[in-house]
Amino acid sequence: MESKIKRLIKKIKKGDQAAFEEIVNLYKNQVYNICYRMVGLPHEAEDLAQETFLRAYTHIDQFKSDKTFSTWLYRIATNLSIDYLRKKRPSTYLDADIPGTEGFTMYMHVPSDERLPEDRLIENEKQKIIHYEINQLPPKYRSVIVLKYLQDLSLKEISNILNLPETTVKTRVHRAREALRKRLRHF
Amino acid sequence: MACSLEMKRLIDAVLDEEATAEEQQKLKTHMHDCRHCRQHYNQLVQSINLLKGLEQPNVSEHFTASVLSVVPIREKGQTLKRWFKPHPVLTAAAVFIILMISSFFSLWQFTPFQAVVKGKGRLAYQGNTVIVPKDEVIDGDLIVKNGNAKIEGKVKGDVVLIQSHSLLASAGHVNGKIEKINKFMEWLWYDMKGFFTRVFLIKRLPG
Repeated sequence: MESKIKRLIKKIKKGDQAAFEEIVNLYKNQVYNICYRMVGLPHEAEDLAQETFLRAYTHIDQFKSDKTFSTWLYRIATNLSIDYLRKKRPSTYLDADIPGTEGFTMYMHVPSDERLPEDRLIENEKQKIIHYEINQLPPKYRSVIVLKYLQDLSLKEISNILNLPETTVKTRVHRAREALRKRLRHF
Repeated sequence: MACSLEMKRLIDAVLDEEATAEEQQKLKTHMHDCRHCRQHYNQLVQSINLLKGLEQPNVSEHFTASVLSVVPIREKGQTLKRWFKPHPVLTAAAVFIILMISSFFSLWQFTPFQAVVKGKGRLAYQGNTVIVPKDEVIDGDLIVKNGNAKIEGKVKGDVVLIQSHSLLASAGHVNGKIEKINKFMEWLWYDMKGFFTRVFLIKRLPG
């Protein structure tokens, strides 16, 4: 796998579009999921994932072949997501109150599949609530949770992606875990 | 909440999968008696399981196509440009070396027939051949480029033949050494030696 990726990167550096297409297909779901859990919105996440691949393509020469490609790619994705969250106005948060509809939130407007069997419906609700709670975390905790528990990456990989010391990542994992425990304990 | 900081540290170590067997046993024993720690630990484990159970939705079908539609197509010749950009010093050095070599090479290739005496003495010419006349004594070096040398008289110094042939040069006629330079690299070396001699030993030169 590693050597296959290296070969593809070499081809992309020479301007091979087909090799790039293969890389996109290999990583698109991971990149999309990182962005999706980071920003919370499917459509924005897809735009960010697209931007991630575009940047990776145009800056491919800055990628040193002795590094891990996925780490580099995920770093672009998390940085873009964090930038997006910084720029975004708070009013577009899912839980923001819409004027005149006190008690209702945008969150309830997220469409769900129709006519599901009951257990599927419950599962769907559960998924939404966890997703919602992740999005209530500050971005610095959200990123470690997404990378550690959703992408199943090691502390070392996460520290490379976020460009933070491993001890800092560890502390953030502990704090994020604790924050989520408080939010999800009545589940 | 965990009942003590030590227990909290133990719980984190276990969840990070970094706890020793001894530590695991310690926490287990403690949780058997302590309801708070047990609850805290179970809630953390449950949160982690909920996170791990999250679905990983697939990106839409047209994603790859839409990415490919926005990436710029690389023009030809950009490969070199892309190499030069991150290596400015090497690029400058390479350009410098190419210019140096090509200027030396053009000098080597296109220097016409030339005969120079460093010192005193007269020379006679016959086409591309330089002749040191029979009774003449050259008090210094004789340098011939791209021609022939016919030494009938005497040379007190060295004879340097660059791309040149000596038609008659028995050792008796030349007091110094006869240096033949027929390869580009030899010439380059000779020229560089001359250059450094001029630069660093300028006082030793006559005149």
